[in-house]
Amino acid sequence: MRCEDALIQISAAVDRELDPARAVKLHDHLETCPTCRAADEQMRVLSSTLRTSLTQYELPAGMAARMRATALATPTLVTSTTPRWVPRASKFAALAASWLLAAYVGMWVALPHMSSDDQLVAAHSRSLQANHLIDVASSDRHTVKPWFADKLSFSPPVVEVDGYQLIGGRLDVLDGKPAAAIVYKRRLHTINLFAAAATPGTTKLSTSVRNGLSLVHWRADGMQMTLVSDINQNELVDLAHALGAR
Amino acid sequence: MRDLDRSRRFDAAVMPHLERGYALARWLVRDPSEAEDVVQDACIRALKYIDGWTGDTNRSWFLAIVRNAAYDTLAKRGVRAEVPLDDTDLGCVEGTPETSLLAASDRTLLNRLVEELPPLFREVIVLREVEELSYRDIATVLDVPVGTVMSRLARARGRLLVAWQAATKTERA
Repeated sequence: MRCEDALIQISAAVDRELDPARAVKLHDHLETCPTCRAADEQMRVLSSTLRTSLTQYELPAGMAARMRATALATPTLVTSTTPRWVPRASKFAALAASWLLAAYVGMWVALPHMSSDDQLVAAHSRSLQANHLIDVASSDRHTVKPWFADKLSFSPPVVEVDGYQLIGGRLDVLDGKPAAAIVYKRRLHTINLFAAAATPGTTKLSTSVRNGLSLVHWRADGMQMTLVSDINQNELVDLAHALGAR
Repeated sequence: MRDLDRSRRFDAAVMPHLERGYALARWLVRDPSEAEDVVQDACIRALKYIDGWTGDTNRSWFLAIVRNAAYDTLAKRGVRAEVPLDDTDLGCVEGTPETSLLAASDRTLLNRLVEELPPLFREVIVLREVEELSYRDIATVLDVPVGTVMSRLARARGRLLVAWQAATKTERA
Protein backbone atom coordinates (compact mmCIF):
# COMPACT_ATOMS: atom_id res chain seq x y z
CA MET A 1 0.00 0.00 0.00
CA ARG A 2 1.32 3.41 -0.97
CA CYS A 3 1.40 5.96 1.83
CA GLU A 4 -0.56 8.38 -0.34
CA ASP A 5 -3.43 5.89 -0.71
CA ALA A 6 -3.15 5.08 2.96
CA LEU A 7 -3.86 8.68 3.90
CA ILE A 8 -7.28 8.60 2.18
CA GLN A 9 -8.12 5.37 3.95
CA ILE A 10 -6.82 6.61 7.28
CA SER A 11 -9.15 9.56 6.95
CA ALA A 12 -12.09 7.29 6.06
CA ALA A 13 -11.24 4.96 8.92
CA VAL A 14 -11.38 7.87 11.37
CA ASP A 15 -14.98 8.38 10.21
CA ARG A 16 -15.72 4.62 10.32
CA GLU A 17 -16.53 4.83 6.63
CA LEU A 18 -13.94 2.31 5.42
CA ASP A 19 -15.25 -1.06 4.25
CA PRO A 20 -13.99 -4.05 6.30
CA ALA A 21 -11.72 -5.50 3.59
CA ARG A 22 -9.80 -2.25 3.16
CA ALA A 23 -9.79 -1.66 6.90
CA VAL A 24 -7.90 -4.92 7.36
CA LYS A 25 -5.35 -3.95 4.70
CA LEU A 26 -4.92 -0.55 6.27
CA HIS A 27 -4.43 -2.11 9.68
CA ASP A 28 -1.65 -4.31 8.24
CA HIS A 29 -0.01 -1.30 6.63
CA LEU A 30 -0.08 0.72 9.84
CA GLU A 31 1.66 -2.16 11.62
CA THR A 32 4.64 -1.80 9.31
CA CYS A 33 4.72 1.94 8.56
CA PRO A 34 5.52 4.30 11.44
CA THR A 35 4.96 7.37 9.25
CA CYS A 36 1.39 6.38 8.43
CA ARG A 37 0.82 5.35 12.04
CA ALA A 38 1.75 8.89 13.01
CA ALA A 39 -0.56 10.27 10.33
CA ASP A 40 -3.36 8.08 11.66
CA GLU A 41 -2.84 9.45 15.15
CA GLN A 42 -2.79 13.03 13.87
CA MET A 43 -5.93 12.57 11.77
CA ARG A 44 -7.80 11.31 14.81
CA VAL A 45 -6.62 14.20 16.94
CA LEU A 46 -7.48 16.67 14.19
CA SER A 47 -10.98 15.27 13.73
CA SER A 48 -11.86 15.23 17.42
CA THR A 49 -10.34 18.68 17.98
CA LEU A 50 -12.30 20.11 15.04
CA ARG A 51 -15.50 18.70 16.47
CA THR A 52 -15.03 20.56 19.71
CA SER A 53 -13.49 23.70 18.19
CA LEU A 54 -15.45 24.63 15.08
CA THR A 55 -18.10 27.27 15.63
CA GLN A 56 -21.67 25.98 15.75
CA TYR A 57 -23.53 28.89 14.23
CA GLU A 58 -27.03 29.43 15.54
CA LEU A 59 -29.94 31.03 13.80
CA PRO A 60 -30.15 34.74 14.62
CA ALA A 61 -33.28 35.72 16.54
CA GLY A 62 -36.31 36.22 14.34
CA MET A 63 -34.58 34.95 11.23
CA ALA A 64 -36.72 31.82 10.86
CA ALA A 65 -39.94 33.84 10.80
CA ARG A 66 -38.44 36.33 8.34
CA MET A 67 -37.25 33.59 6.00
CA ARG A 68 -40.62 31.87 6.08
CA ALA A 69 -42.66 35.00 5.48
CA THR A 70 -40.54 36.19 2.56
CA ALA A 71 -40.36 32.78 0.91
CA LEU A 72 -44.11 32.21 1.11
CA ALA A 73 -44.80 35.70 -0.20
CA THR A 74 -42.63 35.06 -3.27
CA PRO A 75 -44.63 33.75 -6.20
CA THR A 76 -43.42 30.45 -7.62
CA LEU A 77 -43.06 29.78 -11.31
CA VAL A 78 -44.95 26.57 -11.45
CA THR A 79 -48.02 27.21 -13.57
CA SER A 80 -47.82 28.36 -17.13
CA THR A 81 -51.32 29.17 -18.32
CA THR A 82 -53.49 29.37 -15.22
CA PRO A 83 -56.23 31.80 -16.18
CA ARG A 84 -56.43 35.01 -14.24
CA TRP A 85 -59.91 34.43 -12.89
CA VAL A 86 -59.01 31.25 -11.03
CA PRO A 87 -57.66 32.74 -7.82
CA ARG A 88 -60.62 35.08 -7.53
CA ALA A 89 -63.12 32.36 -8.29
CA SER A 90 -61.65 29.94 -5.80
CA LYS A 91 -61.89 32.60 -3.12
CA PHE A 92 -65.65 32.53 -3.44
CA ALA A 93 -66.03 28.87 -4.17
CA ALA A 94 -66.94 26.40 -1.49
CA LEU A 95 -64.16 24.21 -0.18
CA ALA A 96 -65.17 21.17 -2.21
CA ALA A 97 -65.61 23.20 -5.34
CA SER A 98 -62.17 24.71 -5.04
CA TRP A 99 -60.63 21.27 -4.79
CA LEU A 100 -62.38 20.27 -8.00
CA LEU A 101 -61.29 23.47 -9.62
CA ALA A 102 -57.71 22.91 -8.56
CA ALA A 103 -57.74 19.45 -10.10
CA TYR A 104 -59.27 20.82 -13.27
CA VAL A 105 -56.76 23.64 -13.52
CA GLY A 106 -53.96 21.15 -12.88
CA MET A 107 -55.09 19.11 -15.87
CA TRP A 108 -55.52 22.16 -17.97
CA VAL A 109 -52.07 23.45 -17.14
CA ALA A 110 -50.58 20.13 -18.16
CA LEU A 111 -52.30 20.10 -21.55
CA PRO A 112 -50.77 22.95 -23.54
CA HIS A 113 -47.30 21.42 -23.69
CA MET A 114 -46.69 20.56 -27.31
CA SER A 115 -45.65 17.02 -26.49
CA SER A 116 -46.61 14.91 -23.56
CA ASP A 117 -44.03 14.25 -20.88
CA ASP A 118 -44.09 10.60 -21.85
CA GLN A 119 -43.04 11.37 -25.40
CA LEU A 120 -40.28 13.65 -24.25
CA VAL A 121 -39.00 11.15 -21.74
CA ALA A 122 -39.12 8.43 -24.39
CA ALA A 123 -37.18 10.65 -26.80
CA HIS A 124 -34.61 11.39 -24.10
CA SER A 125 -34.20 7.71 -23.21
CA ARG A 126 -33.96 6.76 -26.89
CA SER A 127 -31.17 9.26 -27.36
CA LEU A 128 -29.18 7.61 -24.57
CA GLN A 129 -29.69 4.03 -25.74
CA ALA A 130 -29.49 3.94 -29.48
CA ASN A 131 -26.03 5.43 -29.88
CA HIS A 132 -27.83 8.25 -31.57
CA LEU A 133 -27.32 11.05 -29.11
CA ILE A 134 -25.99 13.53 -31.64
CA ASP A 135 -26.05 14.01 -35.40
CA VAL A 136 -23.67 16.91 -35.29
CA ALA A 137 -20.99 16.76 -32.63
CA SER A 138 -19.63 20.12 -31.65
CA SER A 139 -19.14 22.25 -28.61
CA ASP A 140 -19.29 25.29 -30.88
CA ARG A 141 -22.72 26.83 -31.33
CA HIS A 142 -21.60 28.29 -34.65
CA THR A 143 -21.36 24.76 -35.96
CA VAL A 144 -24.53 23.37 -34.41
CA LYS A 145 -26.89 26.20 -35.25
CA PRO A 146 -26.28 26.31 -39.04
CA TRP A 147 -26.61 22.55 -39.14
CA PHE A 148 -30.22 22.87 -37.98
CA ALA A 149 -30.92 25.73 -40.37
CA ASP A 150 -31.10 23.41 -43.43
CA LYS A 151 -33.35 20.93 -41.71
CA LEU A 152 -35.98 22.82 -39.75
CA SER A 153 -38.50 25.54 -40.50
CA PHE A 154 -37.73 27.21 -37.18
CA SER A 155 -34.48 28.25 -35.61
CA PRO A 156 -33.74 26.51 -32.32
CA PRO A 157 -31.57 28.36 -29.83
CA VAL A 158 -28.06 26.98 -29.57
CA VAL A 159 -26.33 28.62 -26.66
CA GLU A 160 -23.15 27.87 -24.78
CA VAL A 161 -23.79 27.96 -21.04
CA ASP A 162 -21.20 28.05 -18.26
CA GLY A 163 -21.12 24.81 -16.35
CA TYR A 164 -23.05 22.92 -19.02
CA GLN A 165 -21.03 21.45 -21.83
CA LEU A 166 -22.64 21.75 -25.26
CA ILE A 167 -21.85 18.53 -27.08
CA GLY A 168 -24.00 18.75 -30.19
CA GLY A 169 -27.42 18.46 -31.75
CA ARG A 170 -29.65 16.03 -33.56
CA LEU A 171 -33.00 15.85 -35.26
CA ASP A 172 -35.78 14.14 -33.37
CA VAL A 173 -39.49 13.65 -33.84
CA LEU A 174 -42.14 14.70 -31.35
CA ASP A 175 -45.87 14.36 -32.03
CA GLY A 176 -44.95 13.29 -35.53
CA LYS A 177 -43.27 16.61 -36.21
CA PRO A 178 -39.58 17.39 -36.57
CA ALA A 179 -37.92 18.75 -33.46
CA ALA A 180 -34.46 19.91 -32.62
CA ALA A 181 -32.61 18.23 -29.78
CA ILE A 182 -29.64 20.14 -28.43
CA VAL A 183 -27.49 18.07 -26.13
CA TYR A 184 -25.59 19.25 -23.08
CA LYS A 185 -23.51 17.36 -20.56
CA ARG A 186 -23.15 18.23 -16.92
CA ARG A 187 -20.78 15.98 -15.05
CA LEU A 188 -21.88 12.50 -16.13
CA HIS A 189 -25.44 13.54 -16.91
CA THR A 190 -26.91 14.05 -20.35
CA ILE A 191 -29.40 16.85 -20.90
CA ASN A 192 -31.65 17.04 -23.94
CA LEU A 193 -33.11 20.40 -24.89
CA PHE A 194 -36.05 19.75 -27.22
CA ALA A 195 -37.34 22.58 -29.36
CA ALA A 196 -40.43 22.21 -31.55
CA ALA A 197 -42.48 24.72 -33.53
CA ALA A 198 -45.40 26.10 -31.52
CA THR A 199 -47.92 28.87 -31.64
CA PRO A 200 -46.39 32.29 -30.99
CA GLY A 201 -46.30 33.52 -27.46
CA THR A 202 -44.32 33.14 -24.31
CA THR A 203 -45.03 31.07 -21.24
CA LYS A 204 -43.21 31.02 -17.94
CA LEU A 205 -41.32 27.89 -17.13
CA SER A 206 -43.04 24.99 -15.47
CA THR A 207 -41.57 21.79 -14.15
CA SER A 208 -42.63 18.18 -14.04
CA VAL A 209 -41.16 14.82 -13.15
CA ARG A 210 -41.67 11.61 -15.08
CA ASN A 211 -40.00 8.24 -14.46
CA GLY A 212 -37.45 9.90 -12.21
CA LEU A 213 -36.45 12.37 -14.91
CA SER A 214 -36.92 16.09 -14.48
CA LEU A 215 -38.58 18.16 -17.16
CA VAL A 216 -38.66 21.92 -17.53
CA HIS A 217 -41.04 23.45 -20.07
CA TRP A 218 -41.46 26.92 -21.45
CA ARG A 219 -42.48 28.58 -24.69
CA ALA A 220 -40.63 31.40 -26.38
CA ASP A 221 -40.11 32.75 -29.89
CA GLY A 222 -42.72 30.45 -31.38
CA MET A 223 -41.09 27.34 -29.99
CA GLN A 224 -42.07 24.92 -27.27
CA MET A 225 -38.91 24.17 -25.32
CA THR A 226 -38.37 21.29 -22.93
CA LEU A 227 -35.30 20.25 -20.99
CA VAL A 228 -35.13 16.60 -19.95
CA SER A 229 -32.48 15.06 -17.74
CA ASP A 230 -31.73 13.04 -14.65
CA ILE A 231 -29.86 15.90 -12.98
CA ASN A 232 -31.39 17.79 -10.08
CA GLN A 233 -34.40 19.79 -11.06
CA ASN A 234 -32.78 22.95 -9.66
CA GLU A 235 -29.83 22.59 -12.02
CA LEU A 236 -32.21 22.08 -14.90
CA VAL A 237 -34.14 25.21 -13.90
CA ASP A 238 -30.84 27.11 -13.72
CA LEU A 239 -30.04 25.98 -17.26
CA ALA A 240 -33.52 27.02 -18.43
CA HIS A 241 -32.91 30.46 -16.98
CA ALA A 242 -29.57 30.66 -18.72
CA LEU A 243 -31.37 29.77 -21.95
CA GLY A 244 -33.71 32.70 -21.49
CA ALA A 245 -36.72 31.09 -19.78
CA ARG A 246 -38.53 33.25 -17.28
CA MET B 1 -56.09 26.28 -0.48
CA ARG B 2 -53.01 26.27 -2.58
CA ASP B 3 -51.28 28.78 -0.30
CA LEU B 4 -52.16 26.78 2.76
CA ASP B 5 -50.71 23.70 1.12
CA ARG B 6 -47.54 25.55 0.18
CA SER B 7 -46.92 26.82 3.67
CA ARG B 8 -47.56 23.39 5.15
CA ARG B 9 -45.09 21.78 2.78
CA PHE B 10 -42.57 24.51 3.44
CA ASP B 11 -42.92 24.03 7.19
CA ALA B 12 -42.35 20.30 6.84
CA ALA B 13 -39.55 20.33 4.29
CA VAL B 14 -37.55 23.44 5.06
CA MET B 15 -38.13 24.81 8.54
CA PRO B 16 -36.58 21.86 10.43
CA HIS B 17 -33.31 22.33 8.53
CA LEU B 18 -33.12 26.12 8.52
CA GLU B 19 -30.50 26.38 11.25
CA ARG B 20 -28.25 23.77 9.66
CA GLY B 21 -28.63 25.56 6.35
CA TYR B 22 -27.67 28.83 7.97
CA ALA B 23 -24.59 27.26 9.58
CA LEU B 24 -23.43 25.87 6.23
CA ALA B 25 -24.04 29.23 4.55
CA ARG B 26 -22.08 31.02 7.31
CA TRP B 27 -19.14 28.70 6.80
CA LEU B 28 -19.25 29.07 3.03
CA VAL B 29 -19.79 32.80 2.54
CA ARG B 30 -18.24 33.83 5.91
CA ASP B 31 -20.49 36.82 6.44
CA PRO B 32 -23.59 36.88 8.66
CA SER B 33 -25.81 39.08 6.51
CA GLU B 34 -24.75 37.44 3.26
CA ALA B 35 -25.39 34.05 4.84
CA GLU B 36 -28.89 35.23 5.67
CA ASP B 37 -29.42 36.28 2.05
CA VAL B 38 -28.17 32.88 0.91
CA VAL B 39 -30.63 31.07 3.17
CA GLN B 40 -33.46 33.33 2.02
CA ASP B 41 -32.59 32.56 -1.58
CA ALA B 42 -32.45 28.85 -0.71
CA CYS B 43 -35.89 29.01 0.93
CA ILE B 44 -37.39 30.52 -2.19
CA ARG B 45 -35.68 27.95 -4.39
CA ALA B 46 -36.76 25.13 -2.09
CA LEU B 47 -40.37 26.25 -2.36
CA LYS B 48 -40.02 26.33 -6.12
CA TYR B 49 -38.57 22.81 -6.34
CA ILE B 50 -40.79 21.22 -3.73
CA ASP B 51 -43.55 20.43 -6.23
CA GLY B 52 -41.33 18.71 -8.73
CA TRP B 53 -39.13 16.89 -6.23
CA THR B 54 -39.76 13.16 -5.92
CA GLY B 55 -37.08 12.22 -3.41
CA ASP B 56 -37.01 12.89 0.33
CA THR B 57 -37.05 16.50 1.32
CA ASN B 58 -34.55 15.83 4.08
CA ARG B 59 -31.65 17.76 5.50
CA SER B 60 -29.29 16.84 2.64
CA TRP B 61 -31.87 18.06 0.14
CA PHE B 62 -32.06 21.48 1.76
CA LEU B 63 -28.31 21.71 2.38
CA ALA B 64 -27.73 21.01 -1.31
CA ILE B 65 -29.98 23.94 -2.19
CA VAL B 66 -28.24 26.19 0.35
CA ARG B 67 -24.89 25.14 -1.05
CA ASN B 68 -25.90 26.03 -4.61
CA ALA B 69 -27.18 29.41 -3.44
CA ALA B 70 -23.94 30.00 -1.50
CA TYR B 71 -21.80 29.19 -4.54
CA ASP B 72 -23.85 31.64 -6.61
CA THR B 73 -22.96 34.30 -4.04
CA LEU B 74 -19.30 33.27 -4.07
CA ALA B 75 -19.30 33.35 -7.88
CA LYS B 76 -20.48 36.96 -7.78
CA ARG B 77 -17.41 37.69 -5.65
CA GLY B 78 -15.25 35.94 -8.22
CA VAL B 79 -14.55 32.94 -6.01
CA ARG B 80 -14.42 29.83 -8.14
CA ALA B 81 -15.38 26.43 -6.84
CA GLU B 82 -12.38 24.40 -7.83
CA VAL B 83 -10.45 21.63 -6.19
CA PRO B 84 -6.82 22.77 -6.06
CA LEU B 85 -4.71 20.74 -8.44
CA ASP B 86 -1.51 20.51 -6.41
CA ASP B 87 -1.30 17.22 -4.62
CA THR B 88 1.71 18.09 -2.53
CA ASP B 89 -0.42 18.30 0.57
CA LEU B 90 -1.44 14.69 0.15
CA GLY B 91 1.96 13.29 0.96
CA CYS B 92 2.46 11.62 4.28
CA VAL B 93 2.44 14.10 7.08
CA GLU B 94 6.03 14.22 8.21
CA GLY B 95 7.29 13.29 11.58
CA THR B 96 5.73 11.88 14.69
CA PRO B 97 2.94 13.67 16.47
CA GLU B 98 4.40 16.16 18.87
CA THR B 99 2.66 16.59 22.15
CA SER B 100 3.01 20.35 21.85
CA LEU B 101 1.09 20.23 18.57
CA LEU B 102 -1.61 18.07 20.01
CA ALA B 103 -1.96 20.25 23.07
CA ALA B 104 -2.27 23.44 21.08
CA SER B 105 -5.94 22.88 20.37
CA ASP B 106 -6.55 26.51 19.80
CA ARG B 107 -10.17 27.12 18.85
CA THR B 108 -9.48 30.43 17.13
CA LEU B 109 -6.55 29.06 15.17
CA LEU B 110 -8.46 26.02 13.90
CA ASN B 111 -11.49 28.09 12.95
CA ARG B 112 -9.23 30.41 10.99
CA LEU B 113 -7.43 27.54 9.27
CA VAL B 114 -10.76 26.00 8.19
CA GLU B 115 -11.97 29.39 6.95
CA GLU B 116 -8.82 29.72 4.87
CA LEU B 117 -9.40 26.41 3.07
CA PRO B 118 -10.72 26.62 -0.50
CA PRO B 119 -14.55 26.32 -0.39
CA LEU B 120 -14.65 22.78 -1.78
CA PHE B 121 -12.34 21.61 1.00
CA ARG B 122 -13.96 23.78 3.65
CA GLU B 123 -17.42 22.40 2.97
CA VAL B 124 -16.46 18.73 3.38
CA ILE B 125 -14.82 19.52 6.71
CA VAL B 126 -17.91 21.43 7.86
CA LEU B 127 -20.37 18.80 6.61
CA ARG B 128 -18.39 16.08 8.35
CA GLU B 129 -17.13 17.66 11.57
CA VAL B 130 -19.88 20.21 12.27
CA GLU B 131 -22.94 18.68 10.61
CA GLU B 132 -21.71 15.14 11.27
CA LEU B 133 -23.20 13.85 8.03
CA SER B 134 -22.34 10.40 6.67
CA TYR B 135 -20.25 10.17 3.50
CA ARG B 136 -23.38 9.16 1.62
CA ASP B 137 -25.27 12.25 2.80
CA ILE B 138 -22.30 14.50 2.01
CA ALA B 139 -22.24 12.95 -1.46
CA THR B 140 -25.91 13.89 -1.86
CA VAL B 141 -25.29 17.47 -0.79
CA LEU B 142 -22.29 17.87 -3.10
CA ASP B 143 -23.81 15.74 -5.88
CA VAL B 144 -20.59 13.76 -6.28
CA PRO B 145 -19.74 10.05 -5.79
CA VAL B 146 -18.92 8.83 -2.27
CA GLY B 147 -15.34 8.13 -3.40
CA THR B 148 -14.91 11.80 -4.20
CA VAL B 149 -16.13 12.73 -0.72
CA MET B 150 -13.59 10.32 0.75
CA SER B 151 -10.60 11.67 -1.16
CA ARG B 152 -11.61 15.31 -0.83
CA LEU B 153 -12.02 14.98 2.91
CA ALA B 154 -8.62 13.30 3.22
CA ARG B 155 -6.97 16.05 1.20
CA ALA B 156 -8.72 18.76 3.19
CA ARG B 157 -7.53 17.13 6.42
CA GLY B 158 -4.02 16.75 5.04
CA ARG B 159 -3.95 20.48 4.28
CA LEU B 160 -5.29 21.35 7.70
CA LEU B 161 -2.69 19.19 9.41
CA VAL B 162 0.14 20.81 7.47
CA ALA B 163 -1.22 24.30 8.15
CA TRP B 164 -1.85 23.49 11.81
CA GLN B 165 1.68 22.20 12.20
CA ALA B 166 3.14 25.24 10.46
CA ALA B 167 1.09 27.66 12.56
CA THR B 168 2.03 25.93 15.79
CA LYS B 169 5.71 25.98 14.84
CA THR B 170 5.58 29.73 14.10
CA GLU B 171 3.87 30.35 17.40
CA ARG B 172 6.60 28.54 19.28
CA ALA B 173 9.43 30.22 17.35
